[in-house]
Amino acid sequence: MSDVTTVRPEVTRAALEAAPPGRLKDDPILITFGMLKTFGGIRAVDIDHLEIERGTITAIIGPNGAGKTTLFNLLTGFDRPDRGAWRLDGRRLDGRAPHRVARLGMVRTFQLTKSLSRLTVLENMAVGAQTQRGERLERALLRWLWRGEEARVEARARELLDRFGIAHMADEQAGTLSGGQRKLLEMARALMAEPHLVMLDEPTAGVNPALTESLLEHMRALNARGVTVVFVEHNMDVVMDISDWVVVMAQGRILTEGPPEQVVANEEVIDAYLGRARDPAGGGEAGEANDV
Amino acid sequence: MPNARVLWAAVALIAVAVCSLFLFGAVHAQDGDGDGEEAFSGTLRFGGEPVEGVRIVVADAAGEAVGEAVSGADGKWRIALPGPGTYGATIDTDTLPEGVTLRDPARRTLEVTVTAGRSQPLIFALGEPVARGPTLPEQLAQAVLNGTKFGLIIAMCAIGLSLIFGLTGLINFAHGELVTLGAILAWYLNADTVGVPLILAGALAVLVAGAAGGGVEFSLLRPLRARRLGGFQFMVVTIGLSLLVRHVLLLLFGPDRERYVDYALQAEWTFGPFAATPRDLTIMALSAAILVAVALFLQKAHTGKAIRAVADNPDLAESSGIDVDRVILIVWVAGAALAAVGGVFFGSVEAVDWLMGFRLLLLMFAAVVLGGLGTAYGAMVGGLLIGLVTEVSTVWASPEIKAVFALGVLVAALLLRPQGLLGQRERIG
Amino acid sequence: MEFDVILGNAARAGLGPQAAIFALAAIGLNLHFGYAGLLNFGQVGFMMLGAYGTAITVATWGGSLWLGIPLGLGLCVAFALALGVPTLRLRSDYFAITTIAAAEIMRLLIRSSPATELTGGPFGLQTIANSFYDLNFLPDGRFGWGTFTYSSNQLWVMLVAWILVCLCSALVLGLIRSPWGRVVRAIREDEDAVRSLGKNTVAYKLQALAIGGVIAGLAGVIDALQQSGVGSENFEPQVTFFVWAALIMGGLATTVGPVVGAMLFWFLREGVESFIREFSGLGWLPDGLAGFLDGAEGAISIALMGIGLIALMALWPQGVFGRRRDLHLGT
Repeated sequence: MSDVTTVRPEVTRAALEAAPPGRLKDDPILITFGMLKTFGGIRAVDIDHLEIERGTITAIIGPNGAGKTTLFNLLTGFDRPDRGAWRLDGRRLDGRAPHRVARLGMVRTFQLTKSLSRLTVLENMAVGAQTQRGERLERALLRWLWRGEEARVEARARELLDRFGIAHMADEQAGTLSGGQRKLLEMARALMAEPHLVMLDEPTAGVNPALTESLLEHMRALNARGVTVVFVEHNMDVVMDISDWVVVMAQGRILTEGPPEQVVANEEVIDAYLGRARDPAGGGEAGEANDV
Repeated sequence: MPNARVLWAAVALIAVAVCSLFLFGAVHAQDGDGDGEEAFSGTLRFGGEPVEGVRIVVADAAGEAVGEAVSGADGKWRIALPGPGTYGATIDTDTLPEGVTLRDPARRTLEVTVTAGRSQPLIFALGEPVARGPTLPEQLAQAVLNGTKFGLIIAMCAIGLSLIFGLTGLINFAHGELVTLGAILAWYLNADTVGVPLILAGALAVLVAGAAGGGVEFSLLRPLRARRLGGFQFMVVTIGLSLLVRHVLLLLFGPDRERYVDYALQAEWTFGPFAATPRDLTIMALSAAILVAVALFLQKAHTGKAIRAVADNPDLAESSGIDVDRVILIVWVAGAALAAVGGVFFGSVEAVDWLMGFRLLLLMFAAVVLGGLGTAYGAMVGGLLIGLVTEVSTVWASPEIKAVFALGVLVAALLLRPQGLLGQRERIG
Repeated sequence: MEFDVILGNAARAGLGPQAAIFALAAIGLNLHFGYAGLLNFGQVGFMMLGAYGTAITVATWGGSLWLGIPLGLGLCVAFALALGVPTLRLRSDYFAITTIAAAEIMRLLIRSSPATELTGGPFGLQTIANSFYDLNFLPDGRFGWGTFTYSSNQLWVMLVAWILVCLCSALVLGLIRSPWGRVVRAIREDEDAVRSLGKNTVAYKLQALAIGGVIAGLAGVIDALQQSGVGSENFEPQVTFFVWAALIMGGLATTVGPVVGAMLFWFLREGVESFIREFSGLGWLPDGLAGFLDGAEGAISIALMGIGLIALMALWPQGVFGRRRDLHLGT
């Protein structure tokens, strides 16, 4: 099991555990203040303060409707909060369009996999690259300006595809991939952008156990290269297995946060979520029944 | 076998079209005014009545007389021209009957340019010389009344468009043709050789249009849905349908504007600043009643609730035991029937022509987007607003461009509140 | 019945300037929808701006044709921006409705009487193309044989129009095969995914809209040159539907699709009309039918086109050059 101390030796587990829940981290990559989003009077996300420690794998859990995906949408600019401010590496992200957020190094994936069906797998990967200046209209027809970079992008893409075990599909249309392969592709594509922070929305949803194991392996490897990982997850085994830190959400708020073993022992969490976690239909009711 | 079903539907459509050609061919042949020949034409009316026996003379740019005509018993006249160009048409005021004068004596001669192959309509406005125009508040009051009238009709036409979108995600480009179909069917029964009273003719036309709407859904769209055709392909199917129906109607009905025989000419009742014919008031009352009935149906009736449930979330509705296909069929029948009612009303208020529904379609689009795509109430609110905007704009702007204001409101609405007045914002991811 | 006459007329239409004009408009639309996924139903608006921008410069302001053409194309860019900035953020159905509405707004304004001094109102503008025909280096006289006889000026328009079709096809092909084109095609597949990868999707869509719009504007310019005039009745919403029909027949997201589709469209349309004219001239038809058919061939051919579109979508939705496999991968 990966430990934050192996990635960042100066941060001790003790120091992490000593930080008050919802509060300060030693070296936060992402800091969020006073974020509120309402949908027709319902507080979908209402977070006073949230920090993500650099170099860790952080899981966000909570019953359905807890606001996890909405939080992802807000942080990555896909949706706008009623109020709130957040910074990535000290740079303000609030009010930035999604593509600007991505260019600053925070790249997300989606709950329902978004493969670009009628592009080849290799083309899918190339779209993730941030270095191809031939993507600008005025250079598009001047082949010699982007040919060299195109070769480098392709080499990097093939290497990543190889690492993710789908290199043999490189020239197939992405729409022909299986569901699990699409999850792999989406993660590999996000890495093409060379992010500092990846936000994975339910990376293992609907994936068979063998592939889940491989996806987790990739997340660990990613983390070992210094990339911070935040992911939404329903499967507690996965959460316990891989995460350094767990944030529990319910009804748009942060219920508690802490190391996984501490969080699973928390009574509130058990009440609000874990007891019925495997039953998505009941999850929402559980959230409502327990006023936090 | 859905494939065969589609083919049969196509064959049936062609068969219907061809049979109708034979049935109505002779009628149209007499109406045909021979496209491709330049001409001036018009109808002289005084207080709504045709004026007979008035002489009109046309001269070319050099002042050389090129033709003349005398208006017939129906007030109509037509003068063939030697070719495209600019001509002056002069009405011989000496031949006007006693008491009939030009509204604006300065407009005795109209200079108009005719492009190749066009029959150019001219209007010599007959009436009392206007002593005093209505004041601005009077004009506004009248425009609001007219706007409400058209708004109610647009709303009625647009409900089906909006609900079909809500249920199936389909933008039905053929919805305007349902309006035209209703209006033209009623005209055939009422004004042509048949002579059925308009109310009965309208009711029959609405039934047929409803059945046609249901037939389109049942024999064409449902089999295609079963084959998982994409949204874009469906849109193209409705475009094809719209081209087909519109031009078959053009073939049968001809390019001219026609009026119903019943209630065509009525004296206006005036109430303070408002003036309206009993026909228009009846139509407004009926339209309002139908809209209320539709709202009550959607709110109270079992089927109405099912419609709203499917529009809200088709998958959820399906899994909770609602027969989604049946609901869609009902909406197609009802939506088409409502559009046809709108067509008969519109034809009665204005005139019937083959393009009326297509012109109305853009206003319906505006209404539906303004109110919020997919909701019936949105279509009602949007329809009323669009009707009001178009008519009120005529107080200040030329009536030729009144549709511009409706479409302008649409664009403005998209900028300010893209989900529509009654629509809800969508969530991502 | 003289089938060689029918076939000849149809082929002449399929090669004629109208087919080239439609091919240009369809190439633009192919960039919009086939590659960028923009559901543009206002293509005729771009054609109208290209044509009227040129005609107004020449006929109303007495300017040079060579100033008018870039001005008309510039108007197309402006229209793309004005249309795209507010609406490209919205769902595609809203975009479809807005584009059809915007194009019709412009047409109503152009043909309204207050605009007559500028646009000629309902009468349009005439004699605008003299400097274009002055450039004609072909010798005077008539060329070709039989049905395919053209005057020098007709040949000149066709030559220029089809060269433009080739150039624009090559331009779009080059763009689509570049990294820029890859991003544009990616946006067609899933805009949110592309945004999450750091691409400003709205900018790409605007660029695609403007380029496709300018190509349609060129179609309008050729139309104005060919008729040496403009009239608002040539730019009714129906034209957009016809261009769609041509594009769909040829096949979306292919290089030759829009060109072949446009030729096919005019070949079939003129073929049907010619057939009906020949057919109604046959002596043995009942009077009612013959009278009905006389002058009705235009409406009949469009009605048949409607049936054709329905059948095409039901039986062969990928078009002549489209790949059926792609259809099932799409959304």
